[in-house]
Amino acid sequence: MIARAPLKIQAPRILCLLLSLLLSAPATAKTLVLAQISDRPKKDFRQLRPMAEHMQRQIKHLGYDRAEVKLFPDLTALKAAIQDGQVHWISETALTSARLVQAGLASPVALKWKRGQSEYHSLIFVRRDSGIDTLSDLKGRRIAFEHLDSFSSYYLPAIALRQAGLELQALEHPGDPVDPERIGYLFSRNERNNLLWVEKGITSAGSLNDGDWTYPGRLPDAPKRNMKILYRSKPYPRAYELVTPALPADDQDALRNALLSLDPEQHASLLSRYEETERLTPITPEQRTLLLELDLEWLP
Amino acid sequence: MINRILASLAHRVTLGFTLLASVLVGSLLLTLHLSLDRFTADTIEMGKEQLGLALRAQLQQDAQLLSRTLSSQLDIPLYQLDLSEIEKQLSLVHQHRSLQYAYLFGREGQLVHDGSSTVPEFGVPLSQLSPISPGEGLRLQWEGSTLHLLEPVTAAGRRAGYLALGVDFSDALQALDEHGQQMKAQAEATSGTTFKELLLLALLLLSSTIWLMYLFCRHQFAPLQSLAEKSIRYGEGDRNISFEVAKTGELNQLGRALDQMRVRLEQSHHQTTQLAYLDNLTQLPNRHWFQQSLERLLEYSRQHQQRLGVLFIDLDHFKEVNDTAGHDMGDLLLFEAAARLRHLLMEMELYDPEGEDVLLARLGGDEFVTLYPNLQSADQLSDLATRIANTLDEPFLIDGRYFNISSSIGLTVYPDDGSNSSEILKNADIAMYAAKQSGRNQYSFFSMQMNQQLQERIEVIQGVRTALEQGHFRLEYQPVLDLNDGTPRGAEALLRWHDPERGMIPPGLFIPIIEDSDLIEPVTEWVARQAVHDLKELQALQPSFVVSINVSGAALHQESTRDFLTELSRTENLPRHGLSIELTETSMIRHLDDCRQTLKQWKEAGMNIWIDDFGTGYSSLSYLHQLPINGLKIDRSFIRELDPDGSNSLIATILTLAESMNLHVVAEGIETETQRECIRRLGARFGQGFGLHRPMPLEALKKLLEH
Repeated sequence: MIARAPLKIQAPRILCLLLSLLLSAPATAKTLVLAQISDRPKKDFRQLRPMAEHMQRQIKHLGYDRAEVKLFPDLTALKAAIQDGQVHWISETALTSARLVQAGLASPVALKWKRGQSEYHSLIFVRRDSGIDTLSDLKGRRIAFEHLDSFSSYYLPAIALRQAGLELQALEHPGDPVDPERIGYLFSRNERNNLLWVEKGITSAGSLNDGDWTYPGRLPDAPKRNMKILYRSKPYPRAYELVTPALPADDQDALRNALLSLDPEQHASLLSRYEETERLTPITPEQRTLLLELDLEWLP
Repeated sequence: MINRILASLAHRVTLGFTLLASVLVGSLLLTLHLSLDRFTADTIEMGKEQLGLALRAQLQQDAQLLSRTLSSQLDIPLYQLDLSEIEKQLSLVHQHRSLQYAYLFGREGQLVHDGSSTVPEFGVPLSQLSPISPGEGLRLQWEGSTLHLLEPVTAAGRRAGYLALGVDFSDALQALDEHGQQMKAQAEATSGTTFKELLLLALLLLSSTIWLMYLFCRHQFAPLQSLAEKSIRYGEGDRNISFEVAKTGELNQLGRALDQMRVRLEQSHHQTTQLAYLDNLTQLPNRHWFQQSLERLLEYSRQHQQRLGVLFIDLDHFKEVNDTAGHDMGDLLLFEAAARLRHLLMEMELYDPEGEDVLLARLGGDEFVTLYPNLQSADQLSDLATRIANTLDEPFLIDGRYFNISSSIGLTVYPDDGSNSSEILKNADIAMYAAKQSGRNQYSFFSMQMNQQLQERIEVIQGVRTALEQGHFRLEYQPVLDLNDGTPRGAEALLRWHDPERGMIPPGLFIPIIEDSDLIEPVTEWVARQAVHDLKELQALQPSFVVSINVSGAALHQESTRDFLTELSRTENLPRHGLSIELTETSMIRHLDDCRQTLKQWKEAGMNIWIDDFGTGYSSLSYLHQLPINGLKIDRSFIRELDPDGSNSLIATILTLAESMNLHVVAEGIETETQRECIRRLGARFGQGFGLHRPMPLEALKKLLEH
């Protein structure tokens, strides 16, 4: 009791000090944080940082004197960071965006024409000489998806297979046995592995988006020529820019405006470095709806 | 040129050393060169090998490190079959240009990735792509310059597959090879340079050693050279030389030996000089020196108008001393005589042994000569001669025996008796001979008449030689008759000389000369041989006939004559008592002992001994007992004195004596019938003389015997 006496006496003084700090807020340093889920942090950091810094300069008058890029290995980590108020701004594809939006952790502010695409398809492909002609032919076989958070190479093909009445079986390793009635799936980590796995017979089918498939140089030509497309989904928005509640409403507006005000001509270089983005456009109601209505329940 | 160089010992030794040293250094250098080459090659080869091993070990280690690192990085991508990640990793190592291949295989050994974008060989078995198979436990293998590695890849504690790398190290190994070549070239160059330096150093050392050797040899052999030059100079007559060498050791010994030799040589030279100029026996100057000195003294006397006296001394009967007592005694006697002369002259201050002038010398044999310089009168010379004669007349006691000799001295005076040395000496010799002829033990001044007598004597001696050679001698025999019946019982052989030009030469003219010369021996031998020859003819007519020959005293004392007669008697196989020897009393008495031996020998050989001219010589008759005598020939003087009416007691006594001693007697010189009758009556059995028969040739005697 005796020990706590001085603290009580000094408490009003500390409080005064904190208040004075809060009152002088506009002048205090704030960091604009851009976040993404990434298994290739180095590359992604390089791609995201210029845009983050540019935006920080655009809204510097709001007290953001620094920009930071935070990359998270998975959705869980990202969600925790958002909930902790550490993240202001997120740039993600439809699946992750939908998950955050449906969890009330973010709201879309702009459509990102990532890799020059405003929207894209998901493709399922097999070797031409595989004898596989329908999705049903994949039963008892393996299919390669890119990774768990991929919209075009997991969510969409998986949905398509499910909708075709087929059941999926998660496999740990390419050598694991597959139930003859199900389709085993594996994550190939990237599009190149995906194509090569199919080509080398590790899996019978792979799935990619049409951008990767059509854009020259992203995949080796020779294996690609040996493939045939078994399934093509309808088009979906390519990627979203989202803000979190950690960013005050005014600041959210300021950031949205700053993002949408980027001119494809004027800021071509900056945009190109930002994951080969062609431009940023406002979100249409359909696109916003998609995020809210995307069925996420059946996913593991 | 080469011969001249090789003539020097120092040069030869140096040359020999040079050849030896060159051969040694040459072989050493050759060996060194070969060793250096081999060492270099071996070192380079070894270095290359070591470097190669080290490099390979290093490369291997690097490659292993690479493969391990890579395999540890590929574990998860392999497990996940993350081909793009694998490609990224493999393409990273593929940037290493020496990587031949990099294969990643799955657990079952099938190819998962080769680093290319499309992996065209996906699934190909490991055995087709890597020389190493997993079962062998090997992890690396060299194939030439390529290193193959096989590294297991483990993920989560399980074997996930294999990483195979092929690294081509040919560049590194080739670089090593090139490096080795460079090193070899450099080492060879260094070796070559080192060898050249060594060669240069060796040549330098060799040449300086040879030069030092040459200097050393020259220094060592310089005394030898000096000795050689001294020897040459000494040989050329330079006597002011010492061979002593101021060094120790052999050269010093050599020097000392040469010097000793020089001293000996000089001593020997001195002795030779003495031998040449001194008489070895008496140590008096010899004829050679004397003549030189005489000429000088004569010249001196001529210049100073002085007279010089010359005394030529000859010892009487010296020959008999030599013959009877031996030459050693003779030499001792000569030595003693010389000593007496020297002593006498020194007393008279006529002899100075140290003086240059020779005043006393031995001319040879028993001849001495003395000079009397600055002679004032002939009396001085005769006085000296008398004193010399007196001193030599004293008996000589030699080896316990007394010898009586006398001397005959000839005197000449320069310039009266000759104008040069040979003339004055020759005339002194003649004067001496004259003195000797006059009965010995006296002196004579030279006269021109003597010269003529000598000339005659020389002619006689020449004539006797010719007579012997050309057979001008012959024998005549005077028969000895038995006075009782008048029959010849023997004959005395008498020598006759019939010269083709001068006719018969009287025996009195030449026989004394023969007796006094060397001719007595051949003449005696001729007479004996001829008499024996004739005796055989005479004995054929009358077997008991006897021939006698006369042997002079000189011949009696010669061994040669004694042995000749003995041998002649034996070889001619004379009958005993066939040949008789007649000797005079005087000749026997002088050396009685020697004589007795000779007579005994002759008598044993079958010869009879007669004493000739008995009664004229020695007065003692005792020798008659001592000598083996057969008979006496009574001298003609006794016969001439015979008185037919007197008692003739002397002859009667002789005859009685002879009879008592059992000696035969011949009466010589019977000239008349009265004498013959008288002596017959006195009892003498044999007689000889003109009154009985004159000497006759052999043929006449033979006729006489035949009657």
